[in-house]
Amino acid sequence: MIPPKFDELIHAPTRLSIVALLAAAEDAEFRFIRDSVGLSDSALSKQLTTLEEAGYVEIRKSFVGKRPRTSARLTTVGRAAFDQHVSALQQIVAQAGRTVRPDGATQ
Amino acid sequence: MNEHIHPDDAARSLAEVRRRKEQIVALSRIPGWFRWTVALLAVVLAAGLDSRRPLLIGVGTTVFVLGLLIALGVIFGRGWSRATPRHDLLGPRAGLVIVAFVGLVLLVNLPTTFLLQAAGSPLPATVGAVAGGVVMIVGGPIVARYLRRLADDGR
Repeated sequence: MIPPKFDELIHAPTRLSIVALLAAAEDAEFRFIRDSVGLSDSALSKQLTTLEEAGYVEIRKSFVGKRPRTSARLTTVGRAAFDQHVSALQQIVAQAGRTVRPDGATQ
Repeated sequence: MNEHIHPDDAARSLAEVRRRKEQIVALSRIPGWFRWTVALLAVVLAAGLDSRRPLLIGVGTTVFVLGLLIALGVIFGRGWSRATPRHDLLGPRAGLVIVAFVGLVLLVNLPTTFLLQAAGSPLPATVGAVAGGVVMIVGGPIVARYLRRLADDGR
């Protein structure tokens, strides 16, 4: 059982999308995150920097052949914070006596 | 603190988490054409073996190995260069299901081959590979659906 802990930093919609994406992956390429979440390069950089400063995300720069590759991954701290945040969200929904449908609506 | 979070907002956030997870799971999904390709390559390899001619055995083996490498390269190159799904995303049960499915394909393929060989069939390995291929093509989507359900349940 993961202890619920609401995280304001993660809960912001854009950051929640980024962190949820990273939580399911070992790591993800910058372009993949950008296209998935629908952000500009600079907007994504800003969000990733915020998450990196909180210790939630680790950004790696490497080369594949001659092409630079920037990728991001959740740190152990970030993964724990995300799990606790999801647990808190589930608790809020459960306390309201609702269930979540796949489309996000409650019933 | 979370007293000010409305349950609807929390539910929408949970749905977003689920959508993003599904997006990553989709990257690790094996496309239908891969099963057809592997089944076809196995038949080519088996036909080469059945011919008992070194040249055809060599050609069959080469086509099988190269074809498999190319198919795997396409799959992993396409999805995993963008994001690598977590190894535990599907859980240990998924690994068992995949191993069982491969076992089932072999369980159909090999006994069919040996029985036909014992009966003096001219193409035992080819027919065995076709039988295994049919199991792979018919059973593949069923296994894929089950794995998707496991991922959705987070098991």
